Amino acid sequence: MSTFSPPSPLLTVSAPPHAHCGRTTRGLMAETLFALAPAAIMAVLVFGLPALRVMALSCAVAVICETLCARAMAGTPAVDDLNALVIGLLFAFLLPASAPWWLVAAGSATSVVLGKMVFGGLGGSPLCAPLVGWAVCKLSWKGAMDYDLSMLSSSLTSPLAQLKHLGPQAVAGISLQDLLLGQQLGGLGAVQVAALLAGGAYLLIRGRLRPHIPLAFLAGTFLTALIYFYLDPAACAPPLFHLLAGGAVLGAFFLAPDCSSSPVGHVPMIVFGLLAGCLVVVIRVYGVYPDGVPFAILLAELLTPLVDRIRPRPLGVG
Amino acid sequence: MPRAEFLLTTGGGGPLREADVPAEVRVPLACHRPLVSAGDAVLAGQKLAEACEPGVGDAHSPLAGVVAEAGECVIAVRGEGQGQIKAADLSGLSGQDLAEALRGLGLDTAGLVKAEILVVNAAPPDIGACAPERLLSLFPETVALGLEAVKSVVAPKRTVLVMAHGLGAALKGCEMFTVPPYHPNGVDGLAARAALGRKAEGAVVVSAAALFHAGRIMETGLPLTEIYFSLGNGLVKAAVGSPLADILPLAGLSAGENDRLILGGLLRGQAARSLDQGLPKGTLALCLVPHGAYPPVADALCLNCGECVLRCPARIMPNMISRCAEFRLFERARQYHLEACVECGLCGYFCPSRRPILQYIQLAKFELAALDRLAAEKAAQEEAS
Repeated sequence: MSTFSPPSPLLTVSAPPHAHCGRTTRGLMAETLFALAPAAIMAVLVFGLPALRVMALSCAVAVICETLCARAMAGTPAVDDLNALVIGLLFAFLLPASAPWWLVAAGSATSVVLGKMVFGGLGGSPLCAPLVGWAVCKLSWKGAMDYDLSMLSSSLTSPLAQLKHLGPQAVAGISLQDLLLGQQLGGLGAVQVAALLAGGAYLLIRGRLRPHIPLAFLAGTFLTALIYFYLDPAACAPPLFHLLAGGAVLGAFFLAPDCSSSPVGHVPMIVFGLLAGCLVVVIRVYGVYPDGVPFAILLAELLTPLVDRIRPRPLGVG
Repeated sequence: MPRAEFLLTTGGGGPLREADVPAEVRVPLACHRPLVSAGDAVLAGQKLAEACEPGVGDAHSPLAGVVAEAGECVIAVRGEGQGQIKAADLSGLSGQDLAEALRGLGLDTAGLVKAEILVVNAAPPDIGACAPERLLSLFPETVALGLEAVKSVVAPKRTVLVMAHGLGAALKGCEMFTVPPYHPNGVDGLAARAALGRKAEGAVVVSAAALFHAGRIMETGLPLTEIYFSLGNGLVKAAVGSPLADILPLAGLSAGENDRLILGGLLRGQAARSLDQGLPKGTLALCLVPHGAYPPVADALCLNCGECVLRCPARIMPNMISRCAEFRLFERARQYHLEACVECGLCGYFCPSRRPILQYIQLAKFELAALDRLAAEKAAQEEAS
């Protein structure tokens, strides 16, 4: 064989397809951050600088942890895909604004290390990373994670804790508008319901988020709450209260649709959303924890591999 | 709502351009044994190499000259002098004899087996590859001649013509079927399925471009040394083995540093490695992709976002299959119905991680075929002993 003389110009060789829609992982994460921004701003407006402190610390710890893990795993750090920032921010959204620094750091580190990196990085985790950190903190430091106990100086109350401990009469006076505008105690970002709805709508309109999981989640929550309310209006809160109190909206638009841990087909996504939404109310009614959203999503995610088996028949098979 | 990028254009506006016969051709070989060695004089149309696998066409010289290089992958012929081989007489042949004669004259006949239904696919199988439909509308007689030959091999009871625009002339004895002019509707498997439904199983699908090239052989009795393909909005006729650098200027294109030159359409074609490379037989289109037009392919992990699964026209799970192939779990890829993939390239088009999903799928198919071959050989040996 003769050797090629260096051809002019050199071509790039690549695998097909040679065109691309232009939407990348980094873009997805950047738009998710953009969609979370209104809720972050509202959190600072409602809870003041402590909220900003928690969010900043959580994000910083998440990014540092991911870099260190990638080093230890001898891989290329991929923090520039912004996923660590999203995890850090979502974890901060679940904390009370008064969370001490060690709780924020421990939880954020757990989210990234135990919720993402031990499974090999982005896309490998069977559970939503921020929720893993949240669950570890919730079970380890009950007092610091309790919204009412840790926010004694605030004039606001946690409607879900009131519902749990004092019954539906205690929350009958809470206006839906207050709930929408974040005038409630809970995760500092999770309670900014109106801002989260705006962010979720942005992702839906941009096509970055498929509507199946969020809408099915909200529908599941609403319908289950409606059934309970219909069976015994005196013992249960109205369905709209369940949708707007606590972290249901954050769960529907940002936690449950987490890429790596949610199913991928049309029907599986709807089943998954309905299941998680239904579990939210079941846990709120029967569970020992006031808000059932994080545990409901974690439980539903355990069923993802099973739900994903609902597949249409492949072309030309059977 | 189909995306605008996936619109399959008719390419009706562009002219048919003929490339000049180049001074030197580099005829690419796939699985061929060279019949000539460097320094030999060859006539135009003379056989250069013989295929080692059934169904693959032999390679012929498009021009008279001297063999400058005879390697495993390419035979280069420098044009010199005149002379052409005699035309073969194909008139008395039919069935398998005809298929073998066509193969000897350079046509790929691998898919041509006896079948109940023959599907002629004139719909563009890829973005930018409108050649089949154009050839059918420009040269209906030649395509009909090719169809006659292929029919004699396949012996179908029913012949269906699938088109995307309904532009081409109707072929005699064909049922007509039109698919919406969007990729991936023109991919062979999907076009046949759109026309026939479940009956598409076991049907033989041939491209109208292949029929045209078969028709050319039948017309002239000369081997296949010139092919027609799409370039820009037009059609180009060029000799097999023409340097790609000579072809691009026909459409006013020129490749810059780090551009990609695609042999085939945008979503399914193979990237050319050099501008000196010779034009391979079977090319349906040439596309030029400027450097930096799209995010580069990356060796990234699957995000499990599900885009590929939701877009897949074969309704399989490219995310899981590509993961299986990535970690060499090929048998597991089979459980995800790997064989249903029609290789349309949509998964990679939508993948936000820019994973080479289609390549992983092709790798898994290749490895599984090799494993199956090994298993079959082993079983045959055990039976013999």
